[in-house]
Amino acid sequence: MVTELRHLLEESVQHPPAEPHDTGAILRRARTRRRRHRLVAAGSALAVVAVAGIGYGVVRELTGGTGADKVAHTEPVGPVVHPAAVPVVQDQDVRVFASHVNLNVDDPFSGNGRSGNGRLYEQVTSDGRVLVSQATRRDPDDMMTEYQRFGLQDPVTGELRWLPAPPDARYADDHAPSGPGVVAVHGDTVVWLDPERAPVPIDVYDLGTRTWSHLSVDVTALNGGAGGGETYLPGVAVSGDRLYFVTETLSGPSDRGPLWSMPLDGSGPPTKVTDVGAWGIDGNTLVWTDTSSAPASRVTVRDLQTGEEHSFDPQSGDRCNQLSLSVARGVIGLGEYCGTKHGIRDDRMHVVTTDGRPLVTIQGDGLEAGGVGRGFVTATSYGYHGTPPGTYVYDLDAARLVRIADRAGNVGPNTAAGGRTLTWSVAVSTNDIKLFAGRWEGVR
Amino acid sequence: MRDDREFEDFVAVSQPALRRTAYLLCGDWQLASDYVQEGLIRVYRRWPRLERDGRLHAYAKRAVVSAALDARRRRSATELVSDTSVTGAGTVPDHAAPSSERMALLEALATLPRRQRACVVLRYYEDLPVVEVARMLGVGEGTVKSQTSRGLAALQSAYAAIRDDDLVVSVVSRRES
Repeated sequence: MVTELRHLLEESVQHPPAEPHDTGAILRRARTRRRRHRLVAAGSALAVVAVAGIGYGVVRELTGGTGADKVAHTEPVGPVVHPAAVPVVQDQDVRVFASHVNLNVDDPFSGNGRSGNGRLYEQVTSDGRVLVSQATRRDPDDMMTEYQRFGLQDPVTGELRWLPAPPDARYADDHAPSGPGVVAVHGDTVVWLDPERAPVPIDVYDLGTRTWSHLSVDVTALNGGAGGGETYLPGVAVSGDRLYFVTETLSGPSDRGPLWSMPLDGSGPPTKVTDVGAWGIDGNTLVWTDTSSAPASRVTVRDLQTGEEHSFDPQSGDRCNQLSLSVARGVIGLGEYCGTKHGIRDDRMHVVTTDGRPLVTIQGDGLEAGGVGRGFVTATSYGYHGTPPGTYVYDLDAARLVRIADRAGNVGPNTAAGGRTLTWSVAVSTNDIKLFAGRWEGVR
Repeated sequence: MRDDREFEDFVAVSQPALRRTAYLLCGDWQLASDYVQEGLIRVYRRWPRLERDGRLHAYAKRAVVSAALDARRRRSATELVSDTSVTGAGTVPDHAAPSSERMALLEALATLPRRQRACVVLRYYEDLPVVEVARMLGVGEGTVKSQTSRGLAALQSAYAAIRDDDLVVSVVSRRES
């Protein structure tokens, strides 16, 4: 008897069992993983958390519905600006103090030592140094495992000094395989954790003494044990000497979840703060929405020292899904998706004060909200349907939106050095990405 | 904000085919699903650029293949296909080919070193040209040719030992037919 290989290979896969991973679960895991490099933390005096809340579920469809009210459009409240080709004045509006080019970032087999994601500018420390992370791949057969290490770059000399790896057996030559994401730089403290390990390891590094301390948290137990299902930490922040995080289970709700707090010195267990949708911390100010991935009707502001709190309606309307939240110095940035009309997406960064006064809405098709810095907010436009692509800064004092790069790229304020620093990255060619760290001087 | 709905659509369209390829690489449907999930997470992280460059499907396949190969390398043990993985929940009887033939093929595939198995699957199931397999595996075209040749010979030998049948490869691929 003779059997044809191709035919038999085809036959062998014709009747698979049911797929165990649904699309929503994959999306949520993907967003959680991606978030590792977006985690921005808070210092005690001035700070920002640009961590989206737990809303990593599916963005709800807003274009459907049967009644007329289902497709009603919600107009922004207050001033509105749209991305436009207004370039920033280099060395005047923004002063770049560090930059780096990642070559061949998209070629995992280049073997040039810069493959994988290359370097990232994570934070600027309080003394002005840039915290750098670098991911590389070592095995051409293995494009899944990235080895990460972290360093501090002197903005004046450009010298980059790699930090020692945490004292753990899983690390080697200052690299951590596919491991922790940077959580925070706060004073002399740098905090890492790996949200995908159980229990979650948390490593705290003192820049002054160059020493590590370690603690961990069993998030599965927090969510009711194994019966609670697979648990993730989609959002993490540090404020003062405490770590804040939300937990989420794949089987649980994705629009709201518990926010926990624990001392970084390991002197106490995690305690529940409240239930949140999207959330952020600025020093002693905790801000959260009542839901995420759905229209939010309330924003609550709590003083973590006194316990006093107030809430307000952000006036986002009932057609805008709440996606992200960042806060700094009395200003809140709300990332929203407000539906699609005639094929045009209505993406917004809705900026309000902590007492609910609308300041501005940046609106566009393919707009991604960035974060809030001292006197400015950031956003990225992917350039759909006539909305110019680019990386944008809105100056709150001058009430002007300017473009710091003519392409979309990651952008975030970095408040550890005074609230006016920001980092951003832009593709400078097909496979090369340039990183910047700069200080926002303000539109003149 | 990246469009999560587009990603979901991409997952819905690509997941079944990716899972079939991963299954042939590992011989376990559950593991195959895990590898596909890992590959799709990789796609999500690079979505804007991949989408812009029109390389979503190619990158997804490469990521899934790498996930499967890497996991096999770490386990360093050859898997034997179980009945459960072939005829588990959700399967239906296949009248086109006797189950024993499929079992024999999967058992024979499991005897191949991971790279030879990948070359055979990518060349004869995916019908990818040598140059594309080389790019996907990060090796030279000569390596793909030699690994495919050795893998095919070993597969035929193992299959014959199990089934006492000849496993042949038609000259014309599906792509060419």
